[in-house]
Parts: sequence; C-alpha cells; structure tokens
Amino acid sequence: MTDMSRLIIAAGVRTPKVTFAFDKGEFCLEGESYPEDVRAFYDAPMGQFYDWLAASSAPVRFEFKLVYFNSSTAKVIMDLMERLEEAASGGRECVIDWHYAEDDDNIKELGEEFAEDLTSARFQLVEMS
Amino acid sequence: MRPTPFHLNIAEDAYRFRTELDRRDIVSSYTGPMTDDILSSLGNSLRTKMEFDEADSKTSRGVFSALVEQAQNIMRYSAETQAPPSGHDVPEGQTPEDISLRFGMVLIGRVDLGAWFVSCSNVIDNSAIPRLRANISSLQGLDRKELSAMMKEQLRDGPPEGSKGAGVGWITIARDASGGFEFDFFPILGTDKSYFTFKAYFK
Repeated sequence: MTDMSRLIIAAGVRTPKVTFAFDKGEFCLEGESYPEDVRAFYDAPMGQFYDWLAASSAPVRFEFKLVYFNSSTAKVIMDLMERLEEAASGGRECVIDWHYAEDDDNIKELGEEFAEDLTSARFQLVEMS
Repeated sequence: MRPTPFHLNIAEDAYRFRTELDRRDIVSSYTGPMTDDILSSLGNSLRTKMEFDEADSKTSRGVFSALVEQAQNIMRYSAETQAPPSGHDVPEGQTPEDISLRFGMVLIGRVDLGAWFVSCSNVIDNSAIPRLRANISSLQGLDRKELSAMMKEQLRDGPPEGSKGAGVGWITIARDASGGFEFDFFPILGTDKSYFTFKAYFK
C-alpha cells in the first residue's frame, strides 16, 4: 500500500534527500543537488508539491538543507520560491527555512539572495552547527 | 605491438607524460566521454585532496562548483560526440542524441601551491562561437554584486533560447572565480569546428 501523504526519496550521489509530508505541510530538500538533468529528478516531486499546493490551503513549511547545488538546481529553487510567495500573498502561511553551515557564507548568501524577492512568505535563515 | 615514441620503454614514456602534467601544475585530469559519474568521482576525490591540502572552504567550494558547471557544459554542448550504434536500447522518452557520449577534457591544478584552476575544453561548431564569446565576454570585468543581480534576473526570466541548463552556468563560475577567468578558441584545421577552452582561477 502506498502512503499518499508522504513522499520520500533517498539521497543520491548528486541528488538531495526529498522528504515531503503532505499531511503535515512540511517539506524538505537536504544534501547536494547537481544532477545534469534537473527535470528528470525534480519534475515528479515538484509536480506533486505544486498539485498539493493548489489543492490545499494548509500552512506550508519548506526547509532547505542544501550544502551544494548547481545553477540548474538554482532555477528549480527560484521557481519554487515564486510559487510559495504567490501562495503567501494570497494569505496562506508559508515559512521557508534556509539552513546553512556555520562556515558556509556561500549557501547563506545564496539564501539571502532568494529572500530578497519575498515579501509575503516568511524566510528564516537557520545556522546549523 | 605498437612501438612507443623514440623507442622509450613504456614506463619511461608514461613517466615523461606524467612529468609533463606536473610541469603544467595539473593535480587531476580527465579526457574522454564526460558523464555525471565521472564528474562526481573527479569532484569527490578533488574535495578530499583539497581538504588534505587544508585549502579554505570557500576555495574548495568554488573549485568544485566550477568543475560541475564546466563538466555539465561539456555534457550538453560538446560537438565531439558518439551516438549509440543502431539497435542500441534507448530509454523511453529519450532519443539516441540524448544518450550520445560527449567528449571533453578537464584539467584541475594548482599553480605553485597557490591559486587553483579548473580548465575545461571541448570541440564546438564554429557557428556557436559568436554567441558563446558574447555571453562570456559580457561577464568580464563585472563584480560579484553585478554578477549576482544578473544571475537572479536570468533565473527569473528563464533560460535563453538554445540553452539546455538554466543559462546561468557561466555567471556562476564568473562569480566564484576569485582569481578571474579566461577563455579562447582554436580553429581545428580543415574542419568547421574549433577547440574551446575556459579556465577559472581561485585564489
């Protein structure tokens, strides 16, 4: 029996661990992301997420715990941020937690850059020790 | 059995070849079909090497990132390709072109125990040169802030026509390359192709 309320994809060499708990409104991408073909990896989980986002009005918490991502993945993240901002501007509670390692200015900076465009979604930088 | 050049024994020949790589400050090199697995292996061994060298984490991340972006450029755009033989299995939804091997060269090195560099080369069609030259030239002389703004703009607007990635690979490398970057083309005689090399430096 498949549990439709959860989507879990184990981390690969170049792909992050995906943990989507639709029943809780909690979503997480964790690890590294630099697949050559981002669509082959992301189309399915993101498609499910966007379907859920459209069908539900529940609060959303999206956690990024990425230690490295390539430029193609940056596009996926940008699109995702835009969708979350759109949902938030309609009054929905959307929290984005952007985790970065204590010594990783680069990931922190990238997060801050994504955050610049967010006015309705709540963006939080979280330092991991 | 083929004779080695100048009648060297094969070990001496190999040693001379390796010494030539040393002379060019090469730490790690690969030439052949570029694949995701090759990229990960090169990248992960490089990370370990840089960790053991006690390179600072910013340099290490920049070098890794440049390697990923450049190797994926080879996978997408190299004009030196090999298609599968006819009758070869092609995964559903893909074309033989999609699974063709794309060849290139990656050289990673460190100049006099100082700046690291990542240099990637591949064959391209001469017709692709003007746009590539214009793309990369437009990034030269821009500071980090300008490059970041440009990257966001492009991520938002979507990839330019003909781009198979997000169209921001070069911007990413230019932003990370603390020691700058250079690139050039070399026409391959008697063909309509050139050899393209891009080299990024990390202080």
